[in-house]
Amino acid sequence: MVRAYRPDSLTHALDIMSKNRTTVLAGGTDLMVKRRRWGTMAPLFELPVIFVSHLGELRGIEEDGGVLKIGASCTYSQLLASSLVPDHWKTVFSQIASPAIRNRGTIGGNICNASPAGDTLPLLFALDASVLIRRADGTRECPLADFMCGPGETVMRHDELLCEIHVPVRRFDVFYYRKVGARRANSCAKVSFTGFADVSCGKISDVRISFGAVAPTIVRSKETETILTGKDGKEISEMVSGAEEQFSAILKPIDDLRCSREYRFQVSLNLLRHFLENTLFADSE
Amino acid sequence: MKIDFILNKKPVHIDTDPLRRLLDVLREDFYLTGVKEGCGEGECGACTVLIGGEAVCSCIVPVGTVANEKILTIEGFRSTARYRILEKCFIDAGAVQCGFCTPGFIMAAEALLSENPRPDETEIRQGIAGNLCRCTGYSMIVDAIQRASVQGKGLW
Amino acid sequence: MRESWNSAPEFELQERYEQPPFVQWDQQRFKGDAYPVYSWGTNVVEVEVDSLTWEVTVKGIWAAYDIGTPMDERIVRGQIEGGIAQGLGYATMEVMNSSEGRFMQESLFDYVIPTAVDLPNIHSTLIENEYEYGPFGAKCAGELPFVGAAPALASAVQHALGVPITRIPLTPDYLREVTQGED
Repeated sequence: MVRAYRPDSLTHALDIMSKNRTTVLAGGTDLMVKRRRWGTMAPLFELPVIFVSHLGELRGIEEDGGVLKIGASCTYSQLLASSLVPDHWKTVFSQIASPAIRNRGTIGGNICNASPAGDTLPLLFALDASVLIRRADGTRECPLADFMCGPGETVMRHDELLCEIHVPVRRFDVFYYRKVGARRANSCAKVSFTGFADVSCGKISDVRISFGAVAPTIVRSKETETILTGKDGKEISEMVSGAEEQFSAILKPIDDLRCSREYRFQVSLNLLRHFLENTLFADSE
Repeated sequence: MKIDFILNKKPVHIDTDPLRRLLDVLREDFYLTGVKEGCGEGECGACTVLIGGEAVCSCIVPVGTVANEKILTIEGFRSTARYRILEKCFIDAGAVQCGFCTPGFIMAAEALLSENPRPDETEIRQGIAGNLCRCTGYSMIVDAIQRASVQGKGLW
Repeated sequence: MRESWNSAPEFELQERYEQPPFVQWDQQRFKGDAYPVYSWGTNVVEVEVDSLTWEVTVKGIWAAYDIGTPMDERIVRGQIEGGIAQGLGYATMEVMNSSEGRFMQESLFDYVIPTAVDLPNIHSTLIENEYEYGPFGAKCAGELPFVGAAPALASAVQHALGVPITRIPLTPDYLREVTQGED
C-alpha cells in the first residue's frame, strides 16, 4: 500500500486525490500527535497520506483588491514574517503553541482540523473570511462560517483540498484579544475572545465579536453586532447586560479536563463586558 | 519512499516509510542521539532540530516532508564558533542540571539568535517557550543565552 | 579494616553506624531527636491575579536558604531555582486527577508545567552558616527549595483576593469558585 504521496504540483495533488482516498497532511503538528503510537512505531494512518506543505501554489500571501489571499500551507511563522499581514492578526498568531510548532503548523491545517479551540478561527470568523476549495474538476468558494459544521467536521469532500483563505483586510480602531490557556505559552485555549471595532464621531461604526472554545464551533452574533452599531459610549454602557444576555443564549461551553463550563461561561462574559465598557471608547476618554 | 536531504551539511539518501518520525530516523538510522524524545507530541522541545535554520520538533515531523531540506542537529552544530560560545555560556551560567533538555535548548537558542542577535529577556523567554526544563527554573538558561548574545558579538 | 586485612579473595566487614554524641536518638525505641541539624528556607512570592480571568501571574520570587556551606554553589543555585520552579508550577497549573485508579492527565499536553514565559527571574540567597559536622560544612539542600514556594504563592493569592485558599494547584477555576463563595 502506498504510505504517502508527495505531489509535484497542486494539479498533481488534486489528480491523486480524485483517484484515491487520502489523508491530507500539511505541517503535521496536529495529525502526528493524534495518530502517534508507542515507541518508534510510525504514526497510524489508515489511508495514504498526501503531503501538501511543500507546494508553492499553497504558500503564497498576496493582497488583491482589499482581500488578503493566504495559501493554506502558509505556516504561522510565514504569516508573522509577512508585511502584508496586519499587526492585529499577528497578535493572535504569535500566541499559538511554540516557535517550533509555528514553524511547521499551517493556517489551512488549523481550519481543516476544525477544533472548537482552533486559534485562528475566531479571528477569521470575525473578519468574514472565506475559503477557496479545489478539486480536480472544479473550484468553489465558501464563507468560513459555513465551512465548519462541528468539532472536527468540515464540508469538504474527500477529493477536495483547501487551497486559499481569503480575508478582507481592514484597519480597525479597536482590537481586543484574549486567549486564556492553562499557562502563558504553548497552551490550547480554554476560552478566547476576539473583538474589533471602528469608532467614528464617538459612535460605533463597525463591531465584530467572536468567542472560541465555548461551543462546537466559533460563536459570533451578527444580530448583536448590528444592535451595537451606531451607538455612543453612554448607550453602549446601557446595553452591556443586554449583550451579555444575547450571548449567554448562544455560548455552549462544556466541562472538560481543563476547566468547567461555568468558568468558560463567566470568563467569556467578563471579557465581553470589558471589551464593551473599557476598550471601545478608551481613546476618547 | 526515497527521500534526499542535507543532514549536517552532507547530502543523504534514504528509502524508508515517509511517515516515520524524523526523530526516529535521526536516532536509529543515523545514530544521532543528540535529539531526545521527551514527550513525543511536540510539547517539550527536547527533540528540536533546525530545518532551513528554523527550529522544529522532530518528533512530529514525518520524514517524507523533509525532502530537499537542510537539517541541522546538535552534532552538526558542534563544530561552529556559535556553538562554542553557547556551550561556554551555558556552563558558566549553570544552565545545565540533568542535561536532558540541553541539546534542544542549544538548538532553540541558535534559531532565536539567528533571527534576533540581541534579544531582551522577554524575547529570550518567548523564543524558548517551546522548550521545557524541569530542573533549572529557566533563569540560568535565559542568562546563558543573554551572555552568548553579548559575548558572541558578530557571530549572529 | 586495615588492621584486619589479609590476602583472602573475599573479605567482609561490618560496622554499625555510631551517632555522634550530640544526637540524642534511640534507634531501638524510636525516641528522641533524630536530626542533628536542619536546613532552613524562606520564600516571598509576589503575584497578580487577573480580575477577568482569575489567572495568576507570578511577578517575582525571592528566597533565602541556610544549607550550610554549599559544596558547589552553582549547582546548588540551579537546584534551588529548579525546586522553586516546580513549587510554583505545583501551586498554579500542575493539575493531576485520578479517576477509577487511572491518571486523567496522561501526557505533557494535559499535565501542564511552567514554560520560561510562566516564571519570573528567580532570586535566591544562601546564608553563610557552616555546619561543622557536615561534609565540607554542608547540610542538605535537595528537597528544601521545593517546599516553600507553593505555600508562599498560595499565601500571596490569599492576600490578593482576601479569601482563604486551601488548595493547590489554585487554578483559575478554583479561584473563581472561592471568590464567589462556591467552595
